[in-house]
Amino acid sequence: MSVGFTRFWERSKDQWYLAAAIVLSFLFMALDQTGPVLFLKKEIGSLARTGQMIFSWGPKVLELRRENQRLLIKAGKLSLLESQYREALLENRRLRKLLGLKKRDEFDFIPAEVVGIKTTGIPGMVYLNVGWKDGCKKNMVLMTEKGVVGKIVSVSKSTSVGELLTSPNSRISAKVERCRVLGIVRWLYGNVCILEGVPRSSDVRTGDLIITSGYSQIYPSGLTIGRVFKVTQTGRDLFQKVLLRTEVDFGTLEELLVLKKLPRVQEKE
Amino acid sequence: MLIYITVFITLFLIVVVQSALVPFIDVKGIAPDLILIFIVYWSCPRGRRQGVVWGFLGGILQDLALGTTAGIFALSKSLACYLAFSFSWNCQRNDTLLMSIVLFVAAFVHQIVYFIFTSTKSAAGFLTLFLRYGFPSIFYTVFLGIFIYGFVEWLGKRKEAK
Repeated sequence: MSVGFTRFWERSKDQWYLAAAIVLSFLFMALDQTGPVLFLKKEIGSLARTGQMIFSWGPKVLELRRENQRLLIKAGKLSLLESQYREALLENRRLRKLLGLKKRDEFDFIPAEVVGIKTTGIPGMVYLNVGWKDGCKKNMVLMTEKGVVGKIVSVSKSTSVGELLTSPNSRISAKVERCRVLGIVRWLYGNVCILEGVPRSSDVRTGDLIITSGYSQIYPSGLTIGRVFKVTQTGRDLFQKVLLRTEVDFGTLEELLVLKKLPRVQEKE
Repeated sequence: MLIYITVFITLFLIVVVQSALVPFIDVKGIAPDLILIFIVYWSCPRGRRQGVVWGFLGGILQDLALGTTAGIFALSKSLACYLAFSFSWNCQRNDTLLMSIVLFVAAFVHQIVYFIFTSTKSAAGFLTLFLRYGFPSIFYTVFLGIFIYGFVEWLGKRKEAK
């Protein structure tokens, strides 16, 4: 009996190893959001992020000169816009006060550098050089000047992991800026997303801007997501198929802004 | 034992390089899989069992370090190595052609398993994602693998000649 078993074990050792690997993999999948796996992810992840910061330092230095020139031009354009917006903001505050509307949330930005991107499979994750010591928290929104990029899903002392809009897990409550129709934005491929749940009768057109709806605990309202490039209605479907292209180019992310909600303060009389 | 610890540390460094430096050589989100290139290079001459073990370890390191759903890369890489190494009985490191064929099979199985799992959460189907990301990535991985294996083979020959 034992000789037979030993022979069987010896003959099928490779298969036993594979079976063990499969069982362990499924076990990890099942326990993905539980304490021990999260602990491992946090510890190994923060060690990897330190390595990423070291490795990405060289190419980043080479990029600095070009980036500096780009930022100078941008700063010039923004200072022009700022003066126009300041006037509009003051006017908006006066009118809101006149109408008795509740004061909106105000935000600050934490600038972050991308030290790594998930490149195997679907590129839906970024690794940042800011952590809780810089004020980052889980579920804070990531964006560039062009619009929403994603959200933070994990934070350590000096690094954090961001889940991009291009992740299969990502869903954002959104609305069409022009006609205020609501839907859910999900990633399809490349920089193409789909706005799901748009009723057939809605007046969504090519070129419409899609923004965050604000009906979410994470994303505040009015952040740009993308622009509609195709609207189709098929058969007796209750919903339209609305395809949009994100404004952000996810292939060239280098710096991001982490949106930090400021505590509400009483407006001065 | 020391050699295994060295391989494990090398694997971890490659996982870091994969996310820190490979974005600079990716083409529209398509990137080569350095981890698989290394695992095939290390385990192929040692057989299927080593392939499964290193495939699993490389995959789980990748899962945990990158913060993706734990187990997906581990499963796809161990399955990929098991199936790919089943066809290569006399795999030698100085046989770049055979190593590249094994790498192709491993990359193909890896991408299929990976996209079967990830496409369940995506609005796009398996075929869209596989053809858009998986298929080009297989060729990029094999293309880079041929260069790396060829270079290592050339280095070995030079060393022997000396």
